[in-house]
Amino acid sequence: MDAPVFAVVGHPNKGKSSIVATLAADDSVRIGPEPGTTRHCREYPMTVDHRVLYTLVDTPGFQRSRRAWAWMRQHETTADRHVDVVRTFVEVHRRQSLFSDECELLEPILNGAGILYVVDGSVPYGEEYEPEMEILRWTGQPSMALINPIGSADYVESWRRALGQYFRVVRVFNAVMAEFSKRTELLRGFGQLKEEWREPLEQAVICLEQDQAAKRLRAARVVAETLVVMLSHRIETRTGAEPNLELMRPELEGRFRDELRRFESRCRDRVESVYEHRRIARRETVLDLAEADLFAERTWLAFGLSRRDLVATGALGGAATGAFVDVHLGGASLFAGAAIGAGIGASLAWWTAGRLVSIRVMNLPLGGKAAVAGPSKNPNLPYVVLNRARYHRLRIARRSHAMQEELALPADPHEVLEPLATSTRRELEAVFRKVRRGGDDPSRVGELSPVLERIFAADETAALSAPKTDGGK
Amino acid sequence: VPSRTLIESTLYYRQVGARAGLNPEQWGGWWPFLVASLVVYGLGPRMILLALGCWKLRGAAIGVMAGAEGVEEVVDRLRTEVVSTQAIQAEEGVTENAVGGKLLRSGLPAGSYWAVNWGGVELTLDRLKEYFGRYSGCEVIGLDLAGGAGVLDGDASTIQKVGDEPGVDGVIVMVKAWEPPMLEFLDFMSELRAKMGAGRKLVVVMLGFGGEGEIGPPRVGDVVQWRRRLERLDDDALTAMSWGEDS
Repeated sequence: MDAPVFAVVGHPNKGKSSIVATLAADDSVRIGPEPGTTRHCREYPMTVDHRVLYTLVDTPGFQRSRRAWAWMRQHETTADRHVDVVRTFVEVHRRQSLFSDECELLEPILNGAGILYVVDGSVPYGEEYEPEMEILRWTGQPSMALINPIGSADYVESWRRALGQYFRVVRVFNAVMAEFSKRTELLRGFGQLKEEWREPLEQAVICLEQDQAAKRLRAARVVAETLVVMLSHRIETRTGAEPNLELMRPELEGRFRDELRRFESRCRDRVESVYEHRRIARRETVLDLAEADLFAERTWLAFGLSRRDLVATGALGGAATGAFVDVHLGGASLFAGAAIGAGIGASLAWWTAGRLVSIRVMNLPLGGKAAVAGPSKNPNLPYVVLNRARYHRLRIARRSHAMQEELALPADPHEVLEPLATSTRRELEAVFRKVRRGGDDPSRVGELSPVLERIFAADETAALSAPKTDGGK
Repeated sequence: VPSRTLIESTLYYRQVGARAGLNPEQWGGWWPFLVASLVVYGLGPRMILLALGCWKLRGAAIGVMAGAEGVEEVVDRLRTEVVSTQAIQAEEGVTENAVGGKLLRSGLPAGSYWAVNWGGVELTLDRLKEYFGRYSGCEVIGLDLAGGAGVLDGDASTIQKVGDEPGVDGVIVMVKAWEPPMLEFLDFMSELRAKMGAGRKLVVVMLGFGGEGEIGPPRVGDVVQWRRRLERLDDDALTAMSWGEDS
C-alpha cells in the first residue's frame, strides 16, 4: 500500500507554510508575508530508515479560484462526475499560466492526496473562500480544515461554522505555538480521515515519539560534555624565569572566561541542531563568572617533567645509592641507607627544581614559570550552567519550527525551572566532584548523561502542566 | 594422582625384565594424570592468558572508542532508527512577487468617484459619502459590488458600468486589506483600467477590521503587502490609501 499523502492547501498567506514547517519540523520552509511565496509543490516525506510513512505537500495558494470555479460550473454534469470535471480542468490548463497555481495544487489531490485546508482564524470569514472550498469538495478526497489563528483577534467560531459545511473534520491548530504533543495529536487526526491511513499514521506517531526521546538523550549528552569540559577547563601560559605573573592575570582570566562562554554558546548551537532548529536568532545574557581564585602560578621544567616527576626521580636515585651501601653492610643497616638516600635525593630534586628555572643550556631555558587560569572552583558554576542549559533545551524542544521570533534567554532561569530533587542533586554532585578531581575523562559524560536525561524529561512533564508563553514557561 | 603401585611398576620401564614393560595395560593407567597435566600446565595457563588478553583488549578498545570523536553518534545511529520529516528538495529562490514596479502614490485626489466594493465588505453608499466627504473636493456618487463569491459576470458588468458612467472622474476600489491581493483582483484592476482608459483616477482604499464586524484602519503589514503588489501594476494614475488615514 502506498503511504498516505496530504496536500496542505488554501488561500495564499494564510499559514499553510507555517503548518508544514511545524508538522515537518523543518525551519527551511519559507514563511513570508508576501502572498504567493510558495509557487510550486514541495514534498515533506516522513521516513523511518528510508521507509516513507506519510508525505506532506506544501502547495501554492488559490489565486483565481472564482474563475476556475466558473469554468468547472460551466462543464458540470452530474455529482458523480465532479471529480472528472476537476481533472479535465487541470488537464486543459496545466500548460497555461492563467491557472498555474490552481493546477499545481490540485494535481496531488487528484492523485489521491488527503486535503488539509488551512485558514487564518484571526481574521473574519469572507465569502471569497467559498469557490475554492467548492472546488475542493468536488475532488471528493478525504479532507480536514485547520483553523490557524495567526494574529490575536478571534474569529474561530465563525470560521468553524462556515468550514463545517464543507469539511468532515474542522480543528484549530496554532502552528506557531504548537508543541510536539499537539503535532502528534494532529497526525493521529489525519489517520481518522480514511481507514487505511490510520495504521501508517499511528506508526509515524510512535516513531516520532521515540525520536523525540532519542533527541532528549542526545541533548543530555551534549550538555553533559559541556559541563565536563567547563568544569575541568584550564589554560596555561608559560613564561621565562622571572616574569611578573600578576601583570598577566587580567588577560589570562579574561581569556578563560571567554572560553567558558564559547563552550556554552557551542552547546546551545548543538542542542538546537539536535532538535533541527538551524535558523534561530538567540539572545542570551552572558555567563557571569565572578570568581576570585581562578589564577595560579606553577613551575614548568624542560623535557616535560613536572616538579613532582623530578622529586620522584631524585628519590629513586637516592634510594638506589643507599641500597648499594646497605648491600655492602650485608643488610645490617635494615635498609636505612635506601631510606636516607631516598630522602636526600627527593630533597635535592625539590631544591634543584627551583634553580633549574634559571639555568640555560645552549641558550635554552631548562624551565620557567607558568601562569594558570582555572579550573573553576566555584561550587555553583555547574548548577548555573546546567540551569541555563535546561531552560534553553526546554524552550528548543517545545519550539515550533514555524516560529520566527528571536529566542530570549535569561541570565539565571532557576526561578522558572522546577528545583532539582535532593537525590538528583546528590548524584550530580558526585559526578562534578569526580570531574574536578580527574579532569575531562570521557566516562564522566557517560555517568552524567542519564542523570541529565531524567532531569530533562521531568522538565518537559512540568512544562506541560504549566501555562505556555512563547514556547517556554 | 597415579597410585604408588602404578608408579613403582612403571618406574624402570626400559630396564630389561621390568614388569611394566611386559604389561601394556599398566601403562594405560597413566592417562588421567597425563590429561590432567596437559590441562593444568598446558591448556589452563594458555586459556587464562587468553581470557585476560581478551578482557584487557576489550577494555582498551572501549577506552579508545569512548574517547574517539563521533563514536557516540555512530552508536546512537546503530541503536535508533533515522527519522526524517523534512523536505527532500531545496526551497526555490525568491519569487517574482518580491520585485516591485513604479512607486505607488498615496492619498485621494479631488474629484467625483464611483465606489466598487471588492470582496463583500459591509459598507453602504451613505457611509462612503459621509466618510469621503471629509476629503476636500471629493465626492462619492455611486456604489457597486465585485469579487467575493459573486459570479465573474458580476465583475464584468461592474467594470462596464463604472467605465461608462458619465460625470465620474475616477473609481475607488474598497478592499479587505487583511486578505492578500490575489491575481484575481489584479485581473479585475487591469480590466477596469482598460475600460477606463489611461489617466483616469483609480484609488485603492485598504480596509482593516475593528471589533464586532466594524471596519477600521488596516494593519501596517497588510498595507505594505498591498502596496507592493499594486506597484506591480505599473499604473501612473493609480493611488492607494488606508481607511482612517488623515484627510
